[in-house]
Amino acid sequence: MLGKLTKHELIASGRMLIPMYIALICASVVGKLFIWLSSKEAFIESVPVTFSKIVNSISSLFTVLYIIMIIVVLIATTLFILIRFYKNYYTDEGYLMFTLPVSSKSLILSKLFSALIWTIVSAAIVLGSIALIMNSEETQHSFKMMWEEFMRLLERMAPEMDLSVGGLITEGILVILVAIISKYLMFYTAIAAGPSFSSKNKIVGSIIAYVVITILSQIVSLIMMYLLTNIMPNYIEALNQNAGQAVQSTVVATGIINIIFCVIFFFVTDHLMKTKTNLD
Amino acid sequence: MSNILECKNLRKQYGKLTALNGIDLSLPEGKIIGLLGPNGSGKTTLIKLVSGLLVPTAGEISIGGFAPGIESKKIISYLPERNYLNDYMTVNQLIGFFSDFYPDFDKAKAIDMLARLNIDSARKLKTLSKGTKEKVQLIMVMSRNARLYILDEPIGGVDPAARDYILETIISNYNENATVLISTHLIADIETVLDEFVFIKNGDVIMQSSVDEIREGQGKSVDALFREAFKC
Repeated sequence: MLGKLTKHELIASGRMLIPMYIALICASVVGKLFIWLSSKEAFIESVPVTFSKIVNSISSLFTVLYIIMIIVVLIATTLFILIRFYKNYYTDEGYLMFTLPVSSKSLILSKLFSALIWTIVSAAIVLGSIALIMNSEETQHSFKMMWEEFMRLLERMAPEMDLSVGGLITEGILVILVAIISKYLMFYTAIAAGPSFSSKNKIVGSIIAYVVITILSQIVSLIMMYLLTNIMPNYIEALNQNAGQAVQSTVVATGIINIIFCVIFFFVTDHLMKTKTNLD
Repeated sequence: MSNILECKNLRKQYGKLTALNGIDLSLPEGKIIGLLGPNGSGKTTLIKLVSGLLVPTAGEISIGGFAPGIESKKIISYLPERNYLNDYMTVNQLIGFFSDFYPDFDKAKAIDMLARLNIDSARKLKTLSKGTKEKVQLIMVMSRNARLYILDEPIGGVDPAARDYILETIISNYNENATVLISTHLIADIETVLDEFVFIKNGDVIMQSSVDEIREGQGKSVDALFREAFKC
């Protein structure tokens, strides 16, 4: 059932997200065209000055619009994912979803999987689009240098952290994924807690819940950070003597804290959904 | 005959407000039962508790032997009193959705019923009129081979001709062993199809009887009895 829920969720959210991504790709192609045209001397010389000026100003206007578009795509993806969660479960659509023969855990997980997939897709589309726009011999060269420098850094860091370069990259990706998951689950908890904070206006309730959860989770993570660094006894010592080791402890500690948050948010959301959902 | 629904001392409070006052209720299998009461009497609260949308403050509910949960949801086909289906979906996509989640959904039956009403299943729900939308919802719900159908105000917002169609659909599409629970305050319209009725008032069940008993025993219609019991 979880698979079917996820499938339907991907279809339902893709209906809005895919056109947005396609629009971004189209804009990148058009933008690339203008950049290419305005850089072509043969072209500039062959057309009237006014025309080449127009092309130039369009391409600089485009740069501004393009940056705005990238930001909008990233924000809209997250926002849309959260609106889907709210609309699908806490408005009239909830009558359908909460009477399906599925567990509330599956309801949460299906939304989470879909959210993760779209987040990764949106990041890939944005990166791909930037790569397309920026692609030139010059940027290729500087990117190559940056990449080599980055790999050298990893190669230096990895042994100090008792890891292979692959292990270090895997660890980094995992920590980022866990952080994204815990962020989404935190939003879900806030949405599910909305009706408990304000039965009349669930959205206001969710915003209040979000503020409360943020404050609480920051206090908790401070306490946990303190405890964790105390469990690792030579933390301060390590900071001074072995930077790699210290970075490793911090990354692992952050990861553990986020995993704990994921578990807490998941079960709290599940409990709230089961007991506090009251559709109008 | 066994009961499809059993409620024992079922209570629901919203804060200080009591919506259901510790009711006991048993509904037999194979009947069409009216859940009748004025607005705010607790009908929808009871329905939401049975369909698992709300958690009771106290008491027990058993649906075909199951507490509200995944197993009970498999055997309940529930029609809420609002437009609850995703507007952007076409009727065909809805059929796919229902077939995916309800093994007892009879696709052929749904397609047949839609065809008889000349509803184009390639159309998106949002392009259909309110009345047609309600009919589509009812067709989806009645195309399941459920053991308990719960219909909350199924004839509330439609014209008398559509009302007849809806009632006809209900009687001709449930299997004999299933129970249909219809909540409404339009009693005269549905009285002829009912086997039994439950009167609910201020969160209490005040009467449960068969329609024949009232007609033969007291020589009254349920509608007349309702007007007496709930006189303002």
